[in-house]
Formats: sequence, C-alpha cells, structure tokens
Amino acid sequence: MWENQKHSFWQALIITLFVFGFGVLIGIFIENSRAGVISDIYTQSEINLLDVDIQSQLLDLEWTNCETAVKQNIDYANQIYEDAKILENYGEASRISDSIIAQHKKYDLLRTLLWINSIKIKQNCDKSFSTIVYIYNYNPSNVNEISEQEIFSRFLGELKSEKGNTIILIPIAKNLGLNSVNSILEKYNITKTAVIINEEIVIDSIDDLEKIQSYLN
Amino acid sequence: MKFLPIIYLMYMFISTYFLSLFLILFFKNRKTLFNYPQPKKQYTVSFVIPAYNEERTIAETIKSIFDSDYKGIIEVIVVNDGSTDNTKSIVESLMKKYPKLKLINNKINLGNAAKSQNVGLKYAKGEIIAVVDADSYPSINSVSKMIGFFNDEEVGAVTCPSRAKNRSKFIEKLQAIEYNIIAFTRKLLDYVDAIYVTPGTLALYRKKALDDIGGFDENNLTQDIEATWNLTFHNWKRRMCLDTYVSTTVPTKFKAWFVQRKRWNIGGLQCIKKYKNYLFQKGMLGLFIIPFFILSTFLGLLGLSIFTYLVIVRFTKQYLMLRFAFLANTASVTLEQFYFTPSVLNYLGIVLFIFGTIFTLLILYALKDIELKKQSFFNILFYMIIYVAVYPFIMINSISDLVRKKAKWR
Repeated sequence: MWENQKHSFWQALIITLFVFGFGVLIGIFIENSRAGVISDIYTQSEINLLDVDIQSQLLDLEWTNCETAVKQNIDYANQIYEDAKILENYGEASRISDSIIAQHKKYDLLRTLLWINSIKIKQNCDKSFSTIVYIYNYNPSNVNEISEQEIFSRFLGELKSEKGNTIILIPIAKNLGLNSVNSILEKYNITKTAVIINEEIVIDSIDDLEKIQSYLN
Repeated sequence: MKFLPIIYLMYMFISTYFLSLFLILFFKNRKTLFNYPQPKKQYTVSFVIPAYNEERTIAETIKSIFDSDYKGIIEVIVVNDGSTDNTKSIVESLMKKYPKLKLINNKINLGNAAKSQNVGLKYAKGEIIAVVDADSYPSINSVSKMIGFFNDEEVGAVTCPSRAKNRSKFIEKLQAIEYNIIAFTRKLLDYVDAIYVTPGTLALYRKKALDDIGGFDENNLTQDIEATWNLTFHNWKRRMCLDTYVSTTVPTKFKAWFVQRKRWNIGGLQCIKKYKNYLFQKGMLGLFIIPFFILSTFLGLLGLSIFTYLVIVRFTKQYLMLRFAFLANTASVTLEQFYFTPSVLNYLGIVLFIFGTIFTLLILYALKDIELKKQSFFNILFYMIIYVAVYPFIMINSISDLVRKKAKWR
C-alpha cells in the first residue's frame, strides 16, 4: 500500500507547481492586460498631445487663436489627469510584473511635454490658467512619506475640483530615472515631494499647501 | 518583486501543496477510508484512565468502556492522581458493579497525565493498552473496530476520531468541526504512514511498543504526541480507524479552550525541540512529521507577524494622514480611499480559500457524523476565517510560557 501511496508526495508537488504556475501566469496575464489597457489609453493620449502641440505651433503662426489652444490644452490636461488615476490604481495593484512601471514612465514624459506646451501657451496668450505640477516619489520609502503624498494628492484633487478649468494639474513621478524630469528637479532644486506653481513657486511642506491659492492666476 | 508578495506566494505554495496532498490521498483511498481489519485473535486489553478531579465525568467514562462490545477487555485501571473531589469514592462505588475495574491512588498528586499513565502501565497486564481521558467516552464498537489493526505486528498504536460530545454552544460547535477535520486529515495521513498523534481521548497501544519507547514522556505536556513521535522513531506503525469514534467533553468557555490549546502547542514545541536533530532524517518522522509541525507552527507566526506589521502601518498611516489633513485643511476622509483595485494575489487568495472551503465541506459530508452535517455554513466559514486565525495568538502565548518556563499541565 505504502509503495502506491508514497507517490502522492511528488504528485501533490506536480499539481501544486501546475496550479501555482497557472495562477502566476494568469497573474502576469492580468497585469499585462492592465498595462495593455494603459497602453491603449496612452496611444490615444499621445495622438491628443500631438494635436495639442500642433495647435500650439499653429498659434505661433497665428493660424489659430488663444481661446481654442487654451481650451484644447486644458481638455487634454483633464484627460491626462483622469488617466493618471487609473494608472495609479493599476500600479498599486501590480504585484508580479513590472510592466506598469514602463507605462508610468511613458506617461511621465507625456505629462512633461504637456507642461512644456502649457508654458508655451501661457507665454503666447494671457495667463488665464495656472499650472500646478505635483512632483512625487513613485516608491515612497516610509509611512510618513506615503501619508504626506496622499494628503498632497488629496489637497490638489480638491483644488482641481474647486477651480476646474482654471488650473492644470500635472502629477510627475520624480524617481523613475527620466533625464528630462531629473533636469527639471535640478532646476527647481527639488529633492522631496513638492508642488511647482506657475513655474515660479515651489511648495514642499504640507503646512504651506493652503498658500497655493494665493499664487494662482 | 517586493518582499511581502514573495512571502504571500510562499504561503500559497505551501497551502496549495498540502491541500493537493490531502485531495490526492482522499481520491486514491476514498473507497477504503472506513475499512478496518477483523482481528485474527482476541487480544487482551487493559484500559488505563488517569484521573484528577473528574467527579463529573469519570462514571460515564467507565460505563462507556464496560458497555463496549469487545470481549477481550481484562481490566480498567483508574489512576487517581490525588483528586480532591469525589473521584475516588465514585470509582470505588463502581468497583462493586464492575469487577474488572481497578483503582490506584497516587500517594501524592503527580501533576500530569503522563505520570499517572505510566503508573497504570506498570500494573496493566493486557497485550494492548487502551489509554482514555477521564472525560472521554469510547463508543460501543470503538475497541472492536480498532483492535484488528494490531494483526500487523509492526503496528504500535491505533487511534480513532475524537468527537465533541457537547455541541450546544457556539464554541463547542466550532470545536466539533475542528475535531472532524483533524480526524479526517489524520486518516489521510495514515495512508502515507504520517500519523503524528494518537490522542489521549482514546488510543490503543501495543504493550510491547510502549515498553520499547519507555512509556510516556513525563516532561512533555502532550505525552500523546510525544509517544506517537517516539513510536515513529522506533519504526512502529500508527494506524487510524475512521469507522468509529470516541466522544469527549470539549471546553465550553474561551479561556478553557485557550488554555487547552496552549498546552497542545507547548507540547508540540517540546516535541520539536526533542526531535529537532532528526529533521530530514529517520523516515517519515524527519521527512514529513517534523517539517509539517514546524511549518504549521511557524508559518502561522510569520503570518501573524506580517498581519500585525500591516495593521500597525495602516494605523500609523491613518494617524499621520489625519494629522497632515488637519495641517493642510483638507478632508480627513474621502470616498476614493475606499476604492480598491484587486491584485493578482487577491485573486489567488480567493481561489485558495474556495478550494479550502470545498475541501472542508467534503470532509464534513464524507464523515458519518450526521449532526455535523447540519452545521450552518456560517459556522463553517467562521471556523475557517476567525477560529483558525486565533491559533497564532495562542502560539505566541505558548512560546512565551515555554521561554519563561511557565508551562504547566493545568
């Protein structure tokens, strides 16, 4: 009897490896499909950015007006902001593969381009809107930093809801190894979670968040 | 990948492995689960009952033994360990009714069941020693169904399922579920010669086997677990008869339940300590029983540690967020906080939980315990989620007592 039964140990191991391997594969599939969803959204966002960028260049040529360029820029910024929320949720639920991080990097570059475009529009048109760039740590190292970032994020979210299209909120992760982002951080001497308002004011303390309102256009 | 997901996946792997092992053993042997061999001869059986202040239960225990349909019982030895209640007089009065009933009174209280059992062993004359707790009640056919396993000369001990006698209170119902699951899995482990305990509620031992291991370990709080490991060490087989049972009085209050489990844990830890050098050696003892015990002990602790860590982090985060929210003059709670995107690990956990539940239901319905089949699904779920989750807390308490040398029988 024992001779027959002892095979149960390795049989159980094979079943476990199969079930477990299958589970992990499904996991990778789910996470990759989420990354795929992000990728699809990204493709659309990329097209929209090009569109906004062209609008901006048309503005330089005076082939279009400020009102249209500003509106398109703000609409695009709003869409990017909503995409960021999805990206954040998927990123938090990512456990097995790192595919979401790559998507995050692409989005950060897109947001940086959006910021640059917004600066150009503000230079060419009247300053009818404000840009708020939220610089955060993608992998906060401690609870204090996590909590602090959540409050930054919440405060800025509320501000966006309140001010609507008068502000463009651009969240950018600071530690994904992107050279362009690093250059911006260097220019503003930013080392921790911070908010850059209209390319002039840097706020990096929760105590000062309420002051943001006074710096808006 | 981060550290916690790796630990989580490791947990799942081990859980899936044991679940798979039990399922394989079940499907391979489902037709023989309730089989038992007929005895080739009438073995002589001596019962040994250690008793300390058992006035409420001892009479029924003795009656249930003498009600047995097995004719080879030659004596029932009650070892009264200095009881301060009426245990002694109750047994004495029953001796008139049952001539095979014998009473040994320890001059002083020896302090644990193992010592009293060893006293009883010295006087026992049977080829088979049946050890019974003084609050347990062997069913009428228990001995006659268990005894045939001794036809195999290599079998040193035979056990059977313990069932909760009292099942009216909620905590008793939960223990009834637990006892059935333990019994069923023990039977499955029987097929791979991996039975790791022959509980004191009712266990039959070959006298020769007990002599071989030198009786029960008097320094171990779970002498039944130690004896089983010792038998395994000495190459004696242990067998389980699923077709009968012994009823036992289970703790009715949380504190008593906690104390009992703590004793079991401490005994288990003492066994690990005693046999640690045989890990991955000495057949099933080192290759399965010791690792199985260590895994079930320390994985629970690791799980509790991680859970505690996560709770502390969560509370710290909530506290800091409240503080920061106040400083920033923003909302302290938002709806978005409660949004949850499930991760793959959540899905895997749910799948494993479903399989675990199916296995538990399978056990409850495969066993011939009619009353247990009437258990509500809520009780089963409560058992699987809450009851089992208390184990690691008891383990911490047990380790603490063991380290501080506060481990005691009662």
